[in-house]
Amino acid sequence: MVYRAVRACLDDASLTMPEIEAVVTASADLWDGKTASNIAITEAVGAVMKAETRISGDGLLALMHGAMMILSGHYQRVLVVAHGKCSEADVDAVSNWCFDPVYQQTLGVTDSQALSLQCQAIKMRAAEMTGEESIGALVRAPSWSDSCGLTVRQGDGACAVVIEAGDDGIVLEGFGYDLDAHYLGDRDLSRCDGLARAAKRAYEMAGLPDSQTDINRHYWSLRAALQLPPWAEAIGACSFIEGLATLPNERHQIQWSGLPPFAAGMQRLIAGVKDLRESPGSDRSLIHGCHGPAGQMQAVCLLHSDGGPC
Amino acid sequence: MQENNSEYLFSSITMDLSWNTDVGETMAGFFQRLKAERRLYGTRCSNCLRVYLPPRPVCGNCWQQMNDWVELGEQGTIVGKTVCYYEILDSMTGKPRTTPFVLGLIQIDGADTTLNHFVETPDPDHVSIGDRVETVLRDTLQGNVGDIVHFQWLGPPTTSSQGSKK
Amino acid sequence: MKKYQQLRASVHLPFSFAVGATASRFYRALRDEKTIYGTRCDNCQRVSVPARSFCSHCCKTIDHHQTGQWIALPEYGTLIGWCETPNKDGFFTALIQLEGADNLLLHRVGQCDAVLLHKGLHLRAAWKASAAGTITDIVCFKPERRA
Repeated sequence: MVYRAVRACLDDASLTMPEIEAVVTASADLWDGKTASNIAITEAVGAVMKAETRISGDGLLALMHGAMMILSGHYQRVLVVAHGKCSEADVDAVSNWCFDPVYQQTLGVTDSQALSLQCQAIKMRAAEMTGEESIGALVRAPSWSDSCGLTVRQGDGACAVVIEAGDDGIVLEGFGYDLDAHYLGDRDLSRCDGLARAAKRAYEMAGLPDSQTDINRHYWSLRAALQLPPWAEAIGACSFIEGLATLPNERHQIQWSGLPPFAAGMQRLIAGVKDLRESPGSDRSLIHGCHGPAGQMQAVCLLHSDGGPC
Repeated sequence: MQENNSEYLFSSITMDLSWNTDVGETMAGFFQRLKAERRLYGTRCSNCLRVYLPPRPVCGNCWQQMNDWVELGEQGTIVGKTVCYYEILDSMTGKPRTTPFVLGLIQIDGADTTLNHFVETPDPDHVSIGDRVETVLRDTLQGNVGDIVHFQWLGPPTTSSQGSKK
Repeated sequence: MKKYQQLRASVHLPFSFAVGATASRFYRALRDEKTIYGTRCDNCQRVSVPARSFCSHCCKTIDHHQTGQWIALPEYGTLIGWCETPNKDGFFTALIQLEGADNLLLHRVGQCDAVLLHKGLHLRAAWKASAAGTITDIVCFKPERRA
């Protein structure tokens, strides 16, 4: 799976493996039972005798690590690979181990419970802002009644991209990330302050104002559609209420996908790049990635295309 | 509240996790061949001709998929060894292995890489690098990693055992 | 259909995590005094539960020897959020606002009919008979009619 993704990536970029200077991989050993200490995919990503770094988190974090390697001036071209392989694990047991072993793990908290608490917090905030009746209608709306349930299927997947130094074509002009509090009771789960801070860092790096007029498309990593209103609010795309109002139709308008974990952010990035390649003129997209219970870690990348060939 | 108690607490949790790990096409091919023919097979890179045992799907040096299977010898050479005096759990049985025992890096005849496995010998202190070993498979093969029981120490290379090397 | 050979890989690793000075004191109080303690940050005055060794907002040390910063919180509070699907043991993972705390206590709610659960529900801790010094010395929080 990983080899096929890397092969497709290099073919797309018309590159061969010896032209790759360094590799960054993103995966989580607890979820797939294998990728601790770079043992499972070193050959598949062509990292033998190369500088390989492994990030235990969403693929966008690996992308940022790769970008920082290039910005340091020591590397010109870095391969970034993310994969999630959750079909082999007992997701509830594994995600319980992602919580602290003294308090939250002892209570048996899982990733899907955290998501459930977050969805409920968002629904309650929506109900308080709009009145019970409208939220009731929203909850029943078919576009997200399926995706905010607790039976989120995890799935497997692998993504790969090559980034290199330069300022032609599609440019990664800004990125930022942020980690929120670990204890679920220390956060307002109906908001996403971490994403607001991550986006602010990305806007500053790109030299953009916080206003969203220049961004044409958003590529979301969502585990449940209900996460869209607070996340759209956090990056300044629209208000919570506006996000809520457009929700029933969003499935058709906004690119969103939160799965598989760890590959999702990178998958969003690839979707964004493919759309930018089709774009004739100057165009800008925002890529969102996250991982951790109830979106604890948030990442934002800004891509810009001048419309030239790439 | 008066803080005069210095009893420190511990959170005792046992990590009980399990995965249904797909062994992958390459290892599945290795086990199938082992079970059918009582033979070890390696994969060969068509570019650098390196033969991998355990078999890998991709040659790390050439970043090339490997589809050629190579039949390997029954004997091999110890290229690295250590004598263990500390009891550790044998991952095959879940029970401590009687000490002392020898762990070796074994290059099977025909392979370019090594396997790490137990070397069975009456005298652990006299096992040397370069000594010959023979693969011992269990009687009824099941097509998994437990099929290789250990490698039996044969002694220093003789002319005849050298001759069997490909 | 393609057949895949699978291996059942299991880990069985016993851990004994040192919970640290602050959490030790918090859990001793749960066990010995049936009291839930929070800590107040000198800088932002925020009261966090369970007790912390430092403030997660301003990173300021909360010295566990200065007993004044330890706040005994009531064993009752209100329900803020809960998982709509019950856990395997029948409880619902829940976020509870204890009076006097500035954050929510993650715990579980139960020993009641699920349809009763609503935001603002008054809850009281149900204590385990034989306390062991862990968060589950409180079995759960259960609904209580307000006095």
